[in-house]
Amino acid sequence: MVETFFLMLLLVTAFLTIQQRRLRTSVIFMAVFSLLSSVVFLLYQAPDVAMAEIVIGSTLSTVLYLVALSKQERLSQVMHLPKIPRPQMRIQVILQRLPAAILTVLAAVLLIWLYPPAADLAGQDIAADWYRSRFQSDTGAGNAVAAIYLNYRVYDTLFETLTLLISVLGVVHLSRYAEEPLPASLPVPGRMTRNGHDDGQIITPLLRLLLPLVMLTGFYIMFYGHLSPGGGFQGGAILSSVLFLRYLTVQENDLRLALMQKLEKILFLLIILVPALIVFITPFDLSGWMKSLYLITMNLLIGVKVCFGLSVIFIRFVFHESR
Amino acid sequence: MTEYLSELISLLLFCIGLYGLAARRNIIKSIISLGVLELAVILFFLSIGGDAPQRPPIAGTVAESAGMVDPLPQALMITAIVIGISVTAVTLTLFITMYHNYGTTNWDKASALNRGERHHD
Repeated sequence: MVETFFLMLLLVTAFLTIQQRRLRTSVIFMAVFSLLSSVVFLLYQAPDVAMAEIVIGSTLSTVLYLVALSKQERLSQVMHLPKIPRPQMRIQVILQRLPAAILTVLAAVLLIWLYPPAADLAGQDIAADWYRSRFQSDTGAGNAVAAIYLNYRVYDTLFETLTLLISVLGVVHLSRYAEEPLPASLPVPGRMTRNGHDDGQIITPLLRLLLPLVMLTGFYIMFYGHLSPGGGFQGGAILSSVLFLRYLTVQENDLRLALMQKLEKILFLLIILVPALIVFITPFDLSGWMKSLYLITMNLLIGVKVCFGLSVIFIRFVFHESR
Repeated sequence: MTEYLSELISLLLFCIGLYGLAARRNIIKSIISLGVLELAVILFFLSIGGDAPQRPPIAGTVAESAGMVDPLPQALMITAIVIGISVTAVTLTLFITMYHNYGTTNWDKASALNRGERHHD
């Protein structure tokens, strides 16, 4: 019952996200959609995925969208673009969207008509039984998800971290530092403490109180990721949210980005080397404490790497202009 | 029908995202639609075979593993979420670059401007 309710809410928020005319409202609806879907993931007994979605999908990417929108607004003022009036010809817009709507409805009908026979195949979960019965003795992990992405399918993790690294390189390549300072009268995204607003009085002390707790949570999730829900990706995302929070209050670009990028690449090399060395040096079973040590090391390396990667993306995105 | 409810809903969500990609001309709207598509896929993977009363794939101190959900889709979907934010970040950066060059948020206008530039060369 609860599940049905949340699934219906998901449909409604997704529809509102797509149909909303104002972009900022649409982004907020997207965040709500993501939040609701993480509740549904929890109902489907997937706490790891729910945690990743709530930190990465619902929080960090919403901040990225909002920063992009305010950047676009500022650019349109700098470039002196004329304000384009909203199109009033509703009928023309509806006619424009009609073919897409018809095609989508056809695709939906086709998918739903085709689906049930394929679902019958899902009943035979041989692989699932294999993982369920062996993961504790094989890997020494208490969390089957961590056992899979750190041991059975560690290739997935390697290429996932590589994908993140490539996207960091892409963002760095496409943005460069603004040589000419922008005129002071223009609103700079999120600048609160500098241009007359008084928000710093409350937020800055509160943040000083909050930051250590958030960092502690991030490290806890990394260190206990192999026993309880969590892991390197979630912990790293929480750690990088510390930097996001810091930007929202302090507004200083005093972080050493080049160092962070270099460290991220070194950490990626370590993430490749640790499993490779373990495979080549000790081809036989590790003893119990060494298995745990391997899992903790990998979670910690992945966490710090993800934290650096997301932070570099965010800081480049906020402080640098487009190429 | 009700046993496949979550799968059906995720298929519908996928179609909503597809509609957003096909019908909307705003670039940021397209990026948001891509996000909706991605979440629909994640929901689909997690809900496959999730009918029986089960518990999360965390053993803790309990040695038995009966009744756990399939942990494999969950491990894959964590990957999908991290790759999702990478895609969002790169596409938003590309959008800002494009806006800097063309001064429009509309796919049609941007490609018309692009064609015009090509023509002048």
